Amino acid sequence: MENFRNFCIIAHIDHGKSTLADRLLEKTGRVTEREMVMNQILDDNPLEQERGITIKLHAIQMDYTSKAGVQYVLNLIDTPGHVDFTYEVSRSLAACEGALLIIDATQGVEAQTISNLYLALDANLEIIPVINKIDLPAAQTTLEGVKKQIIDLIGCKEDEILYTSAKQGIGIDEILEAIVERVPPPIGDPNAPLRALIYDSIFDSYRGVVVNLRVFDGTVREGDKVVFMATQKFYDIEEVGVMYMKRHRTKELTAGNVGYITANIRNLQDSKVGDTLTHAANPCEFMIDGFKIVKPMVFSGIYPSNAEDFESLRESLAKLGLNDSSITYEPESSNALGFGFRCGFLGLLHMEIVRERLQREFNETIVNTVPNVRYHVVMTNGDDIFIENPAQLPPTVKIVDIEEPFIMAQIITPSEYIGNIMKLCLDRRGTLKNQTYLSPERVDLQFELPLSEVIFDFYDKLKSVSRGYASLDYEFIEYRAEDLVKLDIMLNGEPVDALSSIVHRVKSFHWGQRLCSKLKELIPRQMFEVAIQAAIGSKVIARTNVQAIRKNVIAKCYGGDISRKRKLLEKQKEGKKRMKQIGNVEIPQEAFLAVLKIED
Amino acid sequence: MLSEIEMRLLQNNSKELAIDSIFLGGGTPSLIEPKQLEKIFSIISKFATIKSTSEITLESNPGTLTNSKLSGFKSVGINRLSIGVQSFNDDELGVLDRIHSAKEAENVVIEAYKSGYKNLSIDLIYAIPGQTLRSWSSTLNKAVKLPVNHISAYNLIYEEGTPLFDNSVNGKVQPASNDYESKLFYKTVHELGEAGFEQYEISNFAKAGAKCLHNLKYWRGEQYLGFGASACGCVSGVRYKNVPDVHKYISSLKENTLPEISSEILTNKQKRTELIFLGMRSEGVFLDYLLEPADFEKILNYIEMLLQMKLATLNKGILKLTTEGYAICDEISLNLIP
Repeated sequence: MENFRNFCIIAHIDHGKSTLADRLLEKTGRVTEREMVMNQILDDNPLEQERGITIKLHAIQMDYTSKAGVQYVLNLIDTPGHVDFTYEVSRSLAACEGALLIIDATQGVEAQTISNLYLALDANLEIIPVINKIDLPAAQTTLEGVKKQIIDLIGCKEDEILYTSAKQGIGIDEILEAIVERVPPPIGDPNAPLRALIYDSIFDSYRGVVVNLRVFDGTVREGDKVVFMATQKFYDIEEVGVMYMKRHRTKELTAGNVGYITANIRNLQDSKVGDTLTHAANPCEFMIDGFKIVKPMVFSGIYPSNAEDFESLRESLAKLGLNDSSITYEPESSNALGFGFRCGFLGLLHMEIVRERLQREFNETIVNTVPNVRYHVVMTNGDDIFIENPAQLPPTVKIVDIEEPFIMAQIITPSEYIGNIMKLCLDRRGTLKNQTYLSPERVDLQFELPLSEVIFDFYDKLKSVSRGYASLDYEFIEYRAEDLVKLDIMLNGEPVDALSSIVHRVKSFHWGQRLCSKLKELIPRQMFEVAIQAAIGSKVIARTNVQAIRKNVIAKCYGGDISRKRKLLEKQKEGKKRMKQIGNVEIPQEAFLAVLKIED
Repeated sequence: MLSEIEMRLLQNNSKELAIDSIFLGGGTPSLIEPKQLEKIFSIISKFATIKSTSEITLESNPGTLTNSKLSGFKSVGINRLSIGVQSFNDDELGVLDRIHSAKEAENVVIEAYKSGYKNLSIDLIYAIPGQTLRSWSSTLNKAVKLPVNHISAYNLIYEEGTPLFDNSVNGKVQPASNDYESKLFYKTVHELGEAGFEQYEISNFAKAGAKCLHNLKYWRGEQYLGFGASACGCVSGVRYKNVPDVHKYISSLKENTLPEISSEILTNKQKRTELIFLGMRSEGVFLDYLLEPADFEKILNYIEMLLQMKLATLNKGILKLTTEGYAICDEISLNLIP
């Protein structure tokens, strides 16, 4: 156990985490240069590569002989890099004793990095600060400042900072030496009852769930009878091993090591991230701290474009749920969209990922409604309920209070953008709670914000008002009662439930107007005038009309034009089939996400 | 072209073919010499029968019709002229790059009538940039006073590759808005109606007994053969199109192969789509036919709405659009086709 080192990498998107990981794997001989051609081994999902983020976790074991000639086993545990996945990050950090903190020499410290760093400090990890991309010409001028930021942030000494260019392969040996010298070896008792932390689970269609874990005490062997303590599910272990580039069977894992088990687990829900695995016959006394059931924060309706595809969509969601335990889905129906599902996501990014996977991997054509948060409604009869769909809000007379989730947002930005960011956050009903200068040019702002205001294009706005420099991280704080109202949209007098939203009363008027005019742009002219109205209860607060089409016919059609004209109509008919019919009004599917495109 | 006529007529077992309409159109066929026309007709007659009651139309441009040509065409069998007047306003003719003046056009129509053509049709165009409701109205007025029994009135189409299209893209020319076009359209129907011209298709108006037989054939889904570069034909459910390039057209025929660029066998769904949209543009479609599909209830509801909104009428089992319906014919057809 003395020679095990378990560590992770904390870095902002694009600061070079994947490239550095590739170099470490190469240096320790885990991959050959030939394999390196398929660059960036950790992010193996095409979506991950496109977005430059890690969604699913990986761990890779490497063998390293130090300069002093000692053999070490290094476990690199990867972490996801987005605010939607904070809990997953905290669990993989809990499986380590040390962390490489990677900072881009030209970009400096970002919010994401800081929040993950705090998680790492909370978990008592040894932090090894590394400044990457020192080969970039711009680094010449920015390096000193970044150095100072790091010293201020973690209180390290200047000579503890390592310098590297992962791309050029500079400084990799020093990092490996620092890992074995500075990261403490794991502490644990191989003879105590088994206590292992699950930091990730992946569904494999041949073996069932592959559980990735860190053993703290005891030893797990093939054939053992084990229990997941939180879910109380019992299984017989089939295979035990560690991860090289692929799974590598070792038959057992002892205290201090990181690896995987399989046990013919068919349901991902049985092995939740953060749960503790122990022996059924001789269980450990306490679970490992920090287990939480992750609850979705953002909800949206996902409907098949064609009503006939409902069953196929259900199957696709079920398959998707096999390797994404954080998505939830419940069947629901809408007068506008027919039968579909109300899905819960960790955040907007997670929602986008699910949507894209449904389209790309499962070939589903779907209509996705405007996302919303989960509201807590206190009723006059003493009940209180959570609603995940604005259409389900009870009538106003039965409501005492509507509460919405608030978050603490951490925004790190060059100080010149403070003004813009303050304005943005105040517009979104935020309150400034704290302001700390990390350096004279860099400031850490903390705002309390309603989550509902953050899920609509907040991140894009933040990036645009700060020219891309500000970074964001957030965590849930609590539910608070606010003056919220339900805003309904009616088309020719028919309410369209899928377009209902819950908004703050103060903002409802503008919101209604903007939504109406956006819908006016998106709804094509039809045979009759279409009245678009936004209403709160029975009170109409905004209205506009889509005029009837006056003329829609191509004047000429003789012998030679017939095929051309027919093809044109066939194409238009396909478009028409994709529209949703509400009463007599046809609505293009984009209209259901119109709210997301509203400009301030 | 003569060899194409020969090939196609032979291929179609034309001995039993009785032709009741010939239309010479596309480009400026009036440039042709009457003698050449005679050759064409004699080839056709060699392989098929041209009925004595046939409608034989020649499309023509006012600038090309001299008195001698008028009588020459008449003597080889042309019994209907379609004259591309476009407008009786010289400024508008300028925008359209036409070489004739309004006065010349007027004179040609009168001369044609004098030469004995009883079936005269003129083409007019509306929604020309710069055209006002008033100038369009005066063109229509002039048209109905001339001795014509058929008028085709189209709204201007900006075809890719034309100078007009380029100018509309680069902003030199402002195309009329959809709403303005509709005003011009209603004005057309109204004024021509007052003068005794019945709208029997979206853009076609005729006095009693003067509907263009040839057009009706297209719209009823009947069979037709087309000859020449870029021509189309439709025989026994197969639609073909010839190559547009004249040189390729000639060289292909020299090698004794049909100069087709494409040919498609229409599926039942495609045939249905065509019959419905062509019918809705013109004389209407039998209700029974429209209600054949399994989801007929949806279509029935839609038709009820059309009738309620006075966009269509139902007469002797035929659903036919009203003028308001014609104006949005494409939108309506989309709801009726499979």
